[in-house]
Amino acid sequence: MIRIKNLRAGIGDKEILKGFNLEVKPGEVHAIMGPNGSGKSTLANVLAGKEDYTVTEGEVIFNGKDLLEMSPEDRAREGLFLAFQYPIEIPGVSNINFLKNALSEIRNYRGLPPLEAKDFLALIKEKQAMVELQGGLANRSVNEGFSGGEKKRNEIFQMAVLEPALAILDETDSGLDIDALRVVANGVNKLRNEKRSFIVITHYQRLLDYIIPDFVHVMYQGQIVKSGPKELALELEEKGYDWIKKEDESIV
Amino acid sequence: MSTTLPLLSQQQALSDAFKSVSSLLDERISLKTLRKKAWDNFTILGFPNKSNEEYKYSGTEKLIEKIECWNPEALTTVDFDFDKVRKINPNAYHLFLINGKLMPVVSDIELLEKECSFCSLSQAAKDYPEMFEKHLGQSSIHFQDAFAQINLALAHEGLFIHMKPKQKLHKTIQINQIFTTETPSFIQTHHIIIAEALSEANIIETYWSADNTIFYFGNHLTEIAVSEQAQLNYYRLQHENTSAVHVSTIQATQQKDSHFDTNTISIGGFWTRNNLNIILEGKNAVSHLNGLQIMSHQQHIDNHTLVDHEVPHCESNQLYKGIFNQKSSGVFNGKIFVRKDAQKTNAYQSSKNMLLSENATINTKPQLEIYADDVKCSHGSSTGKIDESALFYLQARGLSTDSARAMLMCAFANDVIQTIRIEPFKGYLESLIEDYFNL
Ligand SMILES: Nc1ncnc2c1ncn2[C@@H]1O[C@H](COP(=O)(O)OP(=O)(O)O)[C@@H](O)[C@H]1O
Ligand SMILES: [Mg+2]
Repeated sequence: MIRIKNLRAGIGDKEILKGFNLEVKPGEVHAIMGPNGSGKSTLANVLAGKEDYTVTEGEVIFNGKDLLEMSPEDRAREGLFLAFQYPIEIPGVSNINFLKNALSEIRNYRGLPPLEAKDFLALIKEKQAMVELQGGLANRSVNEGFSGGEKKRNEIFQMAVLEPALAILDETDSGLDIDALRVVANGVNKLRNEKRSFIVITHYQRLLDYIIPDFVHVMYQGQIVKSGPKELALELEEKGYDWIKKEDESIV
Repeated sequence: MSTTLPLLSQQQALSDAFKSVSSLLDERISLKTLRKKAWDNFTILGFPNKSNEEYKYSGTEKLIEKIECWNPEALTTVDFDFDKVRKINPNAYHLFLINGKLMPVVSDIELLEKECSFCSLSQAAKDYPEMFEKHLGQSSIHFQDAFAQINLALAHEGLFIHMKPKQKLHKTIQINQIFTTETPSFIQTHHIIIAEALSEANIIETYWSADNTIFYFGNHLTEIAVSEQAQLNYYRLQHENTSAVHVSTIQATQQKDSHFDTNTISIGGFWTRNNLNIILEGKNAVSHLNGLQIMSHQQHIDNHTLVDHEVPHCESNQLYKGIFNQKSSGVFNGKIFVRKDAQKTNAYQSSKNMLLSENATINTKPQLEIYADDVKCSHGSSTGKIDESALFYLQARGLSTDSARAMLMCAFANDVIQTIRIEPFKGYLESLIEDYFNL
């Protein structure tokens, strides 16, 4: 699905990703954990194609193609989806309208005709129910006036509609109460299948009680410093990140 | 005041035009006197250049120089796709004007005549002499602007629309002005719109060029009287070619409890100046002034608004938005006067602009003069660029840069468009803006 090799990237003179490696196979769920500031969102944004970051080294192969060469929209059309840590508000742009156009452009890229209006509406209805997004929200301007939890739900709703091959969830769980967390996890689990992959970035082990990962990675200072099975998340929960930091420093 | 008189040869042609119009017009002596006064005002003012404070960013001398004909002959036919314009708002009374002259064959004259009194401006002098005399030039003669004055002096084509007391129009009146000329001409039109007490009407006016490249200089004046408790919505769409010059002046007076909404949408034109003057003469009058400009290449637009709160308890609310691409430029100047007696005035003004290129410019200037002490007034202006993070968000969902941009531009324009209360026209504008950015 995706292979990230020795990725170095940063902003201005500041290097944030310092030789990042990861391979995700179809159907796998990888959790990335790590203290604040270790570069998790940077990784997500670099993969989605945000221009603020410059990649200085490394390569990313997504479905056999050079991801870093692609425009953000082509990455999405190839099947990459990023649920943002801080979804922004876009007043005046209707959620539904923009999703409809996005879906049409993605389908067009893949040589498919746009969905018929009634099929699109049925799709929206189904996915809305899946993430328990109140009817009114889908029709409003993108995230405008949404609560923190509603914004996160809206990200999962969009993911459900666009049905990506690889979804990156950047701290979708932070700021959610337990019910909302369950809804988000439920959405992800329903979309889970042998082809679709997920990179779940999280700060807390809590989410991983609901979304059971195949692998857990610990990121620190722009690199993966430890990988393991799902039990690693529990260990982190227990011990915190300090031992990782110490281990890492002792290596240096 | 420093002035630019037209070039010598033009000066002669211009005063010949005035003489011939004066002798031609079959109007009462009082009106002849008024037109002469306007002419004299004009000769003192001259066409404005940049040393005129009101035209600081919008000198006209270079444009005036190009004019070769000051009083073009009336035309009766034009090669134009009338149906395309009808489709904007199929359920309206459409009136087509060519260089200001009503085209009866393609217009819905009989249908509209059943609902209200209307005719060409020159016909009104004969058919409604009292009303005509009462309204022509009454407030615009005091507007010290060369274009308003020369229009009053010379213009004799345009429409006269009169809504009787309590009359409620069933359909929108859509005035479609088409301009065409072979020699570079000065084309003037003048409308008078009277909404008597308790009447209600929607009027749309659209402006088109018959040809994509011809230059002409249009100078338009609309005088509007909104009587007690009347409600008038007047929406305008300027969609002329990018060689055309468009100057328009709206001079409106409002009486007690009246509502007057305007929306000035400018997309076309090489150089555009809109003067919108509203005088609130009666208590509890409400006025909404909205505007949207989308400019690109070398286009220039200058919107000057003036709201004069003369009496207490009135409200005015303005929102002007502009999108400027490439080397286009814009000006927004909003004057609000709150006279000493005008207590409890609410007056708001906001100008928001988006610059899409490094070379685009906008100058905004609010001018509030408040002489009453118990008022609520505010003004604000902002100039920004496209929101890159919003653009990225949309692209990250699969939208191309162009359609993401188009979507953000529509969103920016949205609150101005939403003030329009005529559905098909609103929908037309939305798709127009979408298409504009989705080339
Ligand atoms: N836009 C930015 N400008 C400057 N520094 C940034 C920017 N984004 C991230 N950083 C820095 O990069 C480091 C990693 O940030 P981030 O990727 O957000 O970490 P995480 O998501 O793991 O908390 C931090 O030190 C942060 O301050
Ligand atoms: Mg983060």
